[in-house]
Amino acid sequence: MCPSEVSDIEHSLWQRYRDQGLKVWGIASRDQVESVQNFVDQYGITFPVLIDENSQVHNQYSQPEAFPSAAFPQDWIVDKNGIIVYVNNGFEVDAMQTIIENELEEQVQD
Amino acid sequence: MLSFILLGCADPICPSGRIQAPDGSCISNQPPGSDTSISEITDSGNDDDTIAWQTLPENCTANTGDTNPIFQVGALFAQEYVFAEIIDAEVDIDHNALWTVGESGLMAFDVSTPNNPIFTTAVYPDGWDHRFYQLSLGTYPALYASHRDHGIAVYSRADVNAPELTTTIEEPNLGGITVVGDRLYATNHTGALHTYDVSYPLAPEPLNMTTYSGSPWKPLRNGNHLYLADNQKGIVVFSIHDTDAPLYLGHSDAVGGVQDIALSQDGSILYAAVGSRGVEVFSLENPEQPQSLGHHPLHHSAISLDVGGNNLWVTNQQDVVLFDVSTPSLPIIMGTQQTEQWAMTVSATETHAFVGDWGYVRVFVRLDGADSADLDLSTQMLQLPTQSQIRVGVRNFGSLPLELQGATSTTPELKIDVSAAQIAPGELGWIRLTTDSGFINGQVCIASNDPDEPVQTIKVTATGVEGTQLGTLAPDFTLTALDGQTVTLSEQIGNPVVLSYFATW
Repeated sequence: MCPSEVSDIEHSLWQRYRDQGLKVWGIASRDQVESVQNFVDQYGITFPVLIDENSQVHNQYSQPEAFPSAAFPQDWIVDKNGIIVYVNNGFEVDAMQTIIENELEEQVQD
Repeated sequence: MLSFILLGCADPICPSGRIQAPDGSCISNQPPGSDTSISEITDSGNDDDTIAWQTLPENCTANTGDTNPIFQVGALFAQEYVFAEIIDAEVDIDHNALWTVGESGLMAFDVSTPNNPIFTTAVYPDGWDHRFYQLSLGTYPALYASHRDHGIAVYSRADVNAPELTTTIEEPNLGGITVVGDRLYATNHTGALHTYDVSYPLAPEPLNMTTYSGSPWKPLRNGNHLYLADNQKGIVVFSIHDTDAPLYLGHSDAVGGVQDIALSQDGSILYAAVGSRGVEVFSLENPEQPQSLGHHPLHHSAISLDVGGNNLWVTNQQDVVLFDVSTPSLPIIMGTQQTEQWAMTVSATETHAFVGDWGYVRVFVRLDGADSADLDLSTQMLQLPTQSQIRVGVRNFGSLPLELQGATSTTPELKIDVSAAQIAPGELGWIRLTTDSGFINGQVCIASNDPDEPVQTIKVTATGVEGTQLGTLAPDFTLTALDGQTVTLSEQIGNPVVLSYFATW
């Protein structure tokens, strides 16, 4: 994902929906931590960026065996019940907003 | 007493995809005579009974289609000579030169024959490593290149074969630069604007630094105002009535942050590259309060744009996009051309557009009289349970009607139909995919009259493939963030969570 996309995530998703309860987490692999930190500072990213220490998330989520290396999914949305409702290997902020708004419209189960 | 002016623009005047006409009404930004509405792109959704689905002929062979108005007249694989990775480019056609910056510092190209750029040299100051961000051409022969960590390197560009370093300004985090007469304005992307006296173009003298909360990159001047493309605040406005001390006036919000800005030839309109929102059009009728007239979405994230003649050229990292701006407030999309690598920057003359496509320099012209349809799929990869249906958005970004001419599937257990075989400019249609029992995976191929990509594919896998997919419980994890906090996914039950895996460049 490119800098302009991360900036989009910051503004179009995190800043826009955080007050309604949306969580946004970036994930980076351990060997990218320094460049990601620079990146986060330069672009003013405020959502948490997690370090995928043992590539656990990469292996479980990106299914590297099932997809060719350049095409594995990069974005997921998990609903309030922990179910994956969106998977994409390209960046489509409009699609993500639609899904998020659907999720936030439903009643919160306490 | 100077007061802070908060610029307006809570919402664009017109709904997205429409542009405000001079009489104030919201109209489609399409050629006159095709009064079609432009709707939001949405991702796959549930089936809608009101759509009369139809099947396309079974073929997916590339066909000639219409002529793409974006025509590549030349290209140079710069990476053959130097580790190019071009990030910014500025053409100096009066001196037959194209200057770029990127991973190998400042790179020069002789463009005496614009269609045939010739690499001459790459230079960077001793002790500075390679990654430069932006450059700006000042009063001849000055050239200013900003470096990620160090500051600005000032070169004489008098000889395209041998640019000469004259001085450096050590000032970290400087990104964008613009020169106005004998003033150089440089933005610090952590939130500041620096002013230098360049009465001696090759020897800038610091005059002023003004901080504000934001992340500016590219500055542009129009009359007595400076506009900054700000990643956080949108369009930031400074007054430069006092050329020694710019005055911060405020900002107009553009969702997603602004990556780059360009002015129309008459200075009345400002175009902004606003990430996935595409190109946003601002009126500068009140120069202190740029007013959004609407935006034109694009595939991918708009990152760089430049005006030359009646053309607005835009790059979005994957493609070059061309708009006609004969009427500056009403850009009309003409076509899209995919590039091979990462189209990060464009610099235009009246007749040519020079695109930095990562390891390539590409030169484009506009073919008069040509326009084309442009097919955009909302997704090209998805997972579906067996015996289910989903619809994928299909939008026509071009200026001619899009004809879906054929569709094939690699397996009979994956069926395709469409909401319409013809999609008007700007309109949204649907491709419906249906899986039978026994479906495992397959690929759909769609043929159309899009001259840039006459054949496009959608890869589909069935849920039930091991691993993580739609409709299943997200595997739990506990990770530590950069700031030290530890989070666990399963503790977020009750809130939706977006997970986004970074691949930095």
